[in-house]
Amino acid sequence: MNTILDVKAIEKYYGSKGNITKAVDNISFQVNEGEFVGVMGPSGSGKTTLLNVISTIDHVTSGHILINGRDITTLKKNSLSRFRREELGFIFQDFNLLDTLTAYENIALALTIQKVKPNEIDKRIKAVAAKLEINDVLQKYPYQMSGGQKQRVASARALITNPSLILADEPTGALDSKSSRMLLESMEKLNTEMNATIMMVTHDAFTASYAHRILFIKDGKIFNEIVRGNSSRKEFFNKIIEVVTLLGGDTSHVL
Amino acid sequence: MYFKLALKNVKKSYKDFLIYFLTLAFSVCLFYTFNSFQAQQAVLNLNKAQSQIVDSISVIMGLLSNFVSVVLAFLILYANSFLIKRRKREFGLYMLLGMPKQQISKVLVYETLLIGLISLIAGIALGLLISQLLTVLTASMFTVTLNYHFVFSFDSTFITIFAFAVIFFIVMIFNAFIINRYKLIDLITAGHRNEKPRVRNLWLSVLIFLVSLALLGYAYYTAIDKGMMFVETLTPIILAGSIGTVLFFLSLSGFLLKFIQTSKRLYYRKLNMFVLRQINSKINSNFLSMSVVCIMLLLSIGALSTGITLRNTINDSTEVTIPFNYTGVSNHHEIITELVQYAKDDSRIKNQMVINSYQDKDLTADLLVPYSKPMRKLDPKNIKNTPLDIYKLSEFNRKRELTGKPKLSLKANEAYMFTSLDSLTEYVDPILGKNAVLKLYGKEITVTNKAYELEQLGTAQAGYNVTSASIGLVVDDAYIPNNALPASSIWNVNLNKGVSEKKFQSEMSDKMFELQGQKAYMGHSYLANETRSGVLENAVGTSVMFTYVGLYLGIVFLVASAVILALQQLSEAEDSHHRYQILKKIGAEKRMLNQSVLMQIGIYFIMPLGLAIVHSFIGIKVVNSVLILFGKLDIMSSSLFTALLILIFYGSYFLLTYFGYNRILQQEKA
Repeated sequence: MNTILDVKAIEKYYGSKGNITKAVDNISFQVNEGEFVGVMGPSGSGKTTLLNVISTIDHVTSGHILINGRDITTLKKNSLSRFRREELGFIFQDFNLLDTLTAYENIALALTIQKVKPNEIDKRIKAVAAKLEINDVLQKYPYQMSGGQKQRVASARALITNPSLILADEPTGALDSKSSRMLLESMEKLNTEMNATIMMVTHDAFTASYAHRILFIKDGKIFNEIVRGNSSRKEFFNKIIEVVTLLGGDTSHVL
Repeated sequence: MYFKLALKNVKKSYKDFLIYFLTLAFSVCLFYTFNSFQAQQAVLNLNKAQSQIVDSISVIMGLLSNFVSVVLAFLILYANSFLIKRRKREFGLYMLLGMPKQQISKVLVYETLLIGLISLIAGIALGLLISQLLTVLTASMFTVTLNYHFVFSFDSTFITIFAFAVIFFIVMIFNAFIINRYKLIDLITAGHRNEKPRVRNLWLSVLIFLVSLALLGYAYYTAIDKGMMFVETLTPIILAGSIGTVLFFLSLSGFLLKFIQTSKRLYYRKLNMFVLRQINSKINSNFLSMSVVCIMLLLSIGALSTGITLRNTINDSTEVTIPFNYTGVSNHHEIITELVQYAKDDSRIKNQMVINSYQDKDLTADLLVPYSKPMRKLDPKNIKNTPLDIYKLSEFNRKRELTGKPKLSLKANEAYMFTSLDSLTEYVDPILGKNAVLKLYGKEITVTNKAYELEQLGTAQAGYNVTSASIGLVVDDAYIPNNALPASSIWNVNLNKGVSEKKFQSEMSDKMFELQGQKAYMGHSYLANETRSGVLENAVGTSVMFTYVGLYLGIVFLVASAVILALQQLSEAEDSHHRYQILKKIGAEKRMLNQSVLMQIGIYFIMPLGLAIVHSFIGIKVVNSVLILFGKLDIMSSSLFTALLILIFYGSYFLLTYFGYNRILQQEKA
């Protein structure tokens, strides 16, 4: 199996001499093609920083990150945005849809900035929309949609460019439980049917239980790692709760 | 302590204040410069008449300044409220920390004072420089020598400081009022509120767009067809024009969106659809200001180009209208005859001549209609009441001889047709070459010339047509009966070198009125006399006046419209910040983002300018048909000059906006 993401001993320091915060402190791990990996940790554990450096929005202080064999820590600014739009797909907690565009146009935008031909744009949007069951909201504006619909549109936008890696930052953070479940099922479907590689950051155990493998982070370091294996989602969920209790924080978020 | 805070604020966010500050400084500079005419006289070697003109220019500039200061006051208030809005969160923080509202107002008062003071000093300093240039310009327009030293206008400085002190005072009151009305919760959550984009039916936009085009078309058509001289036609033109303009901007973005959507290749290309939607989403709040900007630009272009066109025209036509040192005219030929008699032995006269114009009441312009198509458009009653001006060949040739032109030769039954007025050539030209046969005092005569020269029969002010032939006919002396009385007599005199035209004129003028007083004339009567230097001075004076009025108003309106657009775009940059942030996250390159910002601002700046240019193209065409009375118009150079000014002022605000927009986008938001 191919390694999509290879994180090698990365560190991220904030602040200057005498007052240094180690947000990420020597983290290494790998994500293989077709994997659905969750990253959990309490607030301030460094999981968002980790996601930011992987998504090339932020730079590491030391170490290397290889995505599909390319070291993104050495890329220049312009090749970074090119890399970002070709290799990565993003799903954000607050959807980050453009309020002035329809759902269709929001999805299309990911392709137009890659200069994809108009004819192909339509074909690809129709295909993804069918998978995510958002055909009937394509002509609506974000303010006309429910949170779940918005997030599925955002997922469609992340997926449509066929990225090597989809990064999801608290995708269910702004959704009610029903919408959350629907979205997670969609993500599961993307993962199994389309072989999409997903890395999802969350502090919600229920959301995390949809992943196949979970990395726990605390104080900038990997604290634990659990694999779902052949166990059911329910068993996996209980396992997650155990680790979260061990971590000693954030239990208020556990369902 | 509060002053320190104000000082820090201004220092810290000088980039935010930049547009505000520049606008203030520009305004101060303009105000100072155009109020400094009085002081300019000190270095100009003007004669009495010229300094009178400069006096009246400064009076007019003073009056205009009242109007301009009101415009600037509104502009500065607008710019100020933009800045205040940007700082809502900052004020929220002050209030959260327990600062009372009066004290926040106090900080703002200090800030206003500080910026006001800096911009006043900078503006007056800049104004001092520019007014020196203006002095040189004035000197070159009056063609007088410059006795140059640095000019400082105390009066203008005083007026400028006073006017802007009042404006700043209003700004302070306004700020206090705004701060008082703010609620803490609104300040803290400022920027969080999510505006729902109002979606309008795109087909409705297309419909409104077509209606606006129809209205504009109607306004243009009426303006060209009927002219803009009368209130009855002016009102519908202005109404249709302004409603058309407002509707145009209301529907433009929707129409553009619909139109470009039909081409998938264009719509789904890079960030095009984002930019179009971006503009469309804001159009509900922007169309009015865009319309106002468009109309202000129209006024600006109108003021600039007409002012300058008139100046050029007056200068050009002056050459034609001053063939003699002195000309006396009256419709009472005996006054001229006696005047000539009176000056018979005057040794100052080098040479002289009298030319009479006769009128045959049966030979009126309507008889020419069959030969001249354009004449059919004129009011038939009017042309029936317009008799042709008839001149004796001998007198006409004497005039040509004295002005250094070859004599005409006509056979017995031949007539030479001409006009002195540029505006009439289009009616007269078609008559030529057709051998038109007319009846003059009962005898037939044929118009045989194929061309003519535009010539005046004496010296007169441009536009003052006592020495012009509207449609003139030169015929053999024998055609005119001995008992025919001249309709008007013109006495042209060339004086010897070194003789004062002014003195000669005032003597002759006194004599004329004395002669008129001796006889009790009935009905319409006129006496006029003019000198070459009088015409020249007047022409220069008028042209300088028009240039300066045009420059002053034109630049004020230009700056005002650019400022409105710039501020609007910058406040939009705030709202769009998160959208551009999203684009960045999904991988749009910086170049692509810059292009999209450029396109967006470009559309906002170019649209009003474009429509204003179309408007003014039509408007100036119509206005010119009025101005043509002054003579041939030179539109080219004035258009170039206007374009240059627009490029400088509008262009610099465009660039400021572009960089400001990018700067706001790059700011990290808390």
